[in-house]
Amino acid sequence: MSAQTMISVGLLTLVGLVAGMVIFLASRFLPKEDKSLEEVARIKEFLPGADCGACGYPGCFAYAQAVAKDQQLFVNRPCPTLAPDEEGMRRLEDYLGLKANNKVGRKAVVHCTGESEALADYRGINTCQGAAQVASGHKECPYGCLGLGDCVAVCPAGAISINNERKIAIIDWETCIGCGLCVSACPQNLIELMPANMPQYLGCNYQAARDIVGRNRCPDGCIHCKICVKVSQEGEVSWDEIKDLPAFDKECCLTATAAIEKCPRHIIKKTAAYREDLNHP
Amino acid sequence: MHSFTKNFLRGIIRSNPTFILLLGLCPTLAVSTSLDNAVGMSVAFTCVLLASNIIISLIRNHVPVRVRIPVFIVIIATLVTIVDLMLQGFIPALSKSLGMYIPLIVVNCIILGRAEAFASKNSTTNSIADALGIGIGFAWAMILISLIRQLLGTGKLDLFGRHLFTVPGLGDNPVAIFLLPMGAFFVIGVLLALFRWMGVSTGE
Amino acid sequence: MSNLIDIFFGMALVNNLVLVKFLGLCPFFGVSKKLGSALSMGVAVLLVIVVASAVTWPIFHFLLVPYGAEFMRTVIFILVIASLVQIIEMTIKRTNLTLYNALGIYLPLITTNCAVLGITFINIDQAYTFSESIIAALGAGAGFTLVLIIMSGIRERLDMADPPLAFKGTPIAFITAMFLGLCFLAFRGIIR
Repeated sequence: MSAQTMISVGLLTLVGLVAGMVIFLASRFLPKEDKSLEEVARIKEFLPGADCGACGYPGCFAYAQAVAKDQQLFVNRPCPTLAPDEEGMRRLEDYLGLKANNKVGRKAVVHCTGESEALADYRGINTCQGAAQVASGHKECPYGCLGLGDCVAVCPAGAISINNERKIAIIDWETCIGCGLCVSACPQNLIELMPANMPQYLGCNYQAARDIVGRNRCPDGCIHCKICVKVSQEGEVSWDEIKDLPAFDKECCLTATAAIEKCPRHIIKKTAAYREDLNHP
Repeated sequence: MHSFTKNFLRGIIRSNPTFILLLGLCPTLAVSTSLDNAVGMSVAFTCVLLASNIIISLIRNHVPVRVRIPVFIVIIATLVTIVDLMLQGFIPALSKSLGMYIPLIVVNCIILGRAEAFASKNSTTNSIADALGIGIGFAWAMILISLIRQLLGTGKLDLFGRHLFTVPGLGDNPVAIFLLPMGAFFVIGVLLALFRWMGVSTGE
Repeated sequence: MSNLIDIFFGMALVNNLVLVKFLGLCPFFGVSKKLGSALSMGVAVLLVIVVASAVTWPIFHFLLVPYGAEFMRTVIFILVIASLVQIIEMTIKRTNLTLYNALGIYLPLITTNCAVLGITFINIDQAYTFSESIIAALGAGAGFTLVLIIMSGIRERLDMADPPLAFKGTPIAFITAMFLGLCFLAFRGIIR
């Protein structure tokens, strides 16, 4: 065997041995393999997969990973998008063997009835963001919904549609998954996330603090009479001093039947979660 | 004998590595600038494929499953080194024009793929047939592409230093883009579309 | 310093791995259908190329050359690269599951990727120093990722387009690569 052959064979053996050694050492000294990868994948199957971030984690995989590590998380903070889906929640609860608390979930509402007239014929950039830059929009009410569909574009569940007569966005309560993307998409800050069992919402966003002189409001708008607060008996309606609008109790989601009836502008609207039998006299 | 012919013929048309399996495109497109390169590369490739299929099918029952792939890779790498050195010694001009694409045969998906999918599971005679079939399939694909590229790109056809013919008109004004990498993409894209139009289904 | 910048942009744009040197074509056409997977693949390739260059350069210059065994480089390099990928995959899998979920599955595909072995050879053939090799590897990986991202963006659009039936799928992707390559030809003038 010539020297050259021996060198070649020797080098190859050496490199092979070193490589094998490094792999072995890495395998020994790295943190143990997280067997939960399969577990995480299995939990992820039960989740909606919308990656909306409503749970506070960057995506469904991250939430599944957190739950795999600490199942208590599911009890205290169930996936808000999954929560309204009873069937889906039940399957995940059966799999984990746990029951989740406050499974309420959230829904988005548009605080506008759209009765405001158009101030002018808008021909600019065809997005709400663009229209809102031009003198707070092309409707009489400077806070109203402009109906150009920025929220429709971002909704992953397809729950928003534009009513073409009144030019406002309407969110379908049942379809909405409460991810909150529309909230940030609306330049007028018209959309708000409510707990899914909130029985009513206010159809107006007029906040006097941002008043614009000379602009009329719509025939529907809130007149700040505070009758709703006066007739509420169990504190279901309170007054938000900063916005100068009524505020509903988000903790207990009490039904404000009296306020709904007594509002002179009839702009406290019932949601799909309104229940006749939960009336408070 | 029947299985020998079957395996042999399959590699040429039905499982053509370049047009059907879409494997090993790197060397195919890179060296197909001239007919010399194409022939040289095909021969080198077929030699390596043949030798590796034979060796792997011979030792297939003695290799533990977990170290299968590294063992195959080392065997193929050794064979490629042998072929590379022989080429450098005996046909240095070809070795220079093929450049680093000869050593890159070792990571050619075709060879490792055939070793993994076929040679490690079938008898030696069938493996030989498969290797020859795939090799010829690779060869005719390469030759076709380089024919088109050289004819359109230089207007002349040369084989091993002997001038074969010149396309009238193109000899002075060749379409140089076909010699560039972009031309290779174009040629193979059109050829794939042509084969599909003719009814041959490609592996997607 | 200007030499390093030359090398970086040279490898990334002028001698782009995929469009000029034909290295790494298999993942280029296989993985470039969605933007997310293209980005993951690009980053994985970048990582492996840089680490592989960093490890193979010293092995070549301090182990193979002194013993006159340059011809062994094919075998030694591929062995080193295969082990490296194994180690990187194991490390990522055990330390950061989210990262593993994002790009771990692409790592085994990179072992037999011509790009990695090709770059290590180029480093030797061009007689780069160690720092030049690292910069070349960074440039090559960056160029690869760039082209992969552009390609995947185009292919997502192509899905909705309507090419002739024979061209649908891979053939039109090749034609697209041709146009992309033509655009990259414009970069030829940036290094002397």
